[in-house]
Amino acid sequence: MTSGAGRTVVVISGGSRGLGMAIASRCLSEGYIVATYSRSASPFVKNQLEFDPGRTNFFWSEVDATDSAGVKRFVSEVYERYGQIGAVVNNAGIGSEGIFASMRLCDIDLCVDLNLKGTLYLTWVCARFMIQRRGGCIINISSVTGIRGHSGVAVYSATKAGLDGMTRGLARELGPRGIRVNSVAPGYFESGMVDQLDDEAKARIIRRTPLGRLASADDIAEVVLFMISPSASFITGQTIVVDGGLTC
Amino acid sequence: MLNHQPNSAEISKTVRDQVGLLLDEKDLPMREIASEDRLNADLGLTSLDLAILVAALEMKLKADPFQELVPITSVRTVGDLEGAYVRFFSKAEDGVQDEELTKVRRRAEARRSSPGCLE
Repeated sequence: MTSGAGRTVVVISGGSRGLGMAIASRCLSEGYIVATYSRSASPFVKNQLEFDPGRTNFFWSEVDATDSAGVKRFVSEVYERYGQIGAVVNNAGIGSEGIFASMRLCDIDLCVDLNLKGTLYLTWVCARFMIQRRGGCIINISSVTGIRGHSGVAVYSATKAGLDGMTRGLARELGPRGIRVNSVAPGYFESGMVDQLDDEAKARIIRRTPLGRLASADDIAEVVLFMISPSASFITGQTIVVDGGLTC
Repeated sequence: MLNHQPNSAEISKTVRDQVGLLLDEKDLPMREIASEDRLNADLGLTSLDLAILVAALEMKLKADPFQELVPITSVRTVGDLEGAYVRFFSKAEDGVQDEELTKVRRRAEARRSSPGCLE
């Protein structure tokens, strides 16, 4: 077992790029041990692995989030290596855009499999360790699209609203074991998904946002970090919207 | 953790040890645990406690009979719990699979091998 000296292990799905990478970076800088998986290693992952050959602070494996057996193997390996699973950030997800009636069914499957089922798989495995440890924290990265209606993202919205439902249900179920479950729901933030919007659409979103800008991935990561921390020890079952006031 | 395929006596001891640990942790009265003891009515364990037991037993026995073989809702007594693991290991030993289990596995394999959008 790698000595973690009581440091909290944070498991992050899809921590190699984008928001997942921002969350992983902030967790590392706050002294957490980060264990993450993705389908391929990004430059960020390669860099972390190179500078931490003993895997003291950072652990990564190539895992497809929709492969329940692979996810289970990953979490078991993390547990054997560090002796605990302290927090989980369900971040891995994929955007899905288009008029619902003309979408390909396989695109619906892909979005539901990754965003919803992949999250349920990881949470299921980690919860089994957390209930024995009598503590832990689960964060689901949902979205404002799960809260308000947005044309063209019905499937994505369904998966994200599903996560919020899971948050509330699990908060009640796992609260008696000292496990907190919350959602963090970003609005539009600078990411690959937003890059697909044209300039006019971006300008419209900014105009409608009271704080007058898109969020950065770090804006979201800071909230995730707070929700993991002991400062949020009495918050569970909530969806924290981080959208600059877009939905207020 | 057991490093070999456990026999019925070892399974029974492991299950009862884990039940005892859970009773102790919950400050419930310690007692001699019998096969016919009902987890809820006699021992005071909840459905969440049963989930904790199953997770702990998976780590001890490296087995989870409730994924495919036995419905968790059928477990009422300590004996039911022990029986599920005995059944799991006897299946593994015999290499015998009942028809339903074979169907479940075939469905899972079909799902895994079906061409998705990722390819």
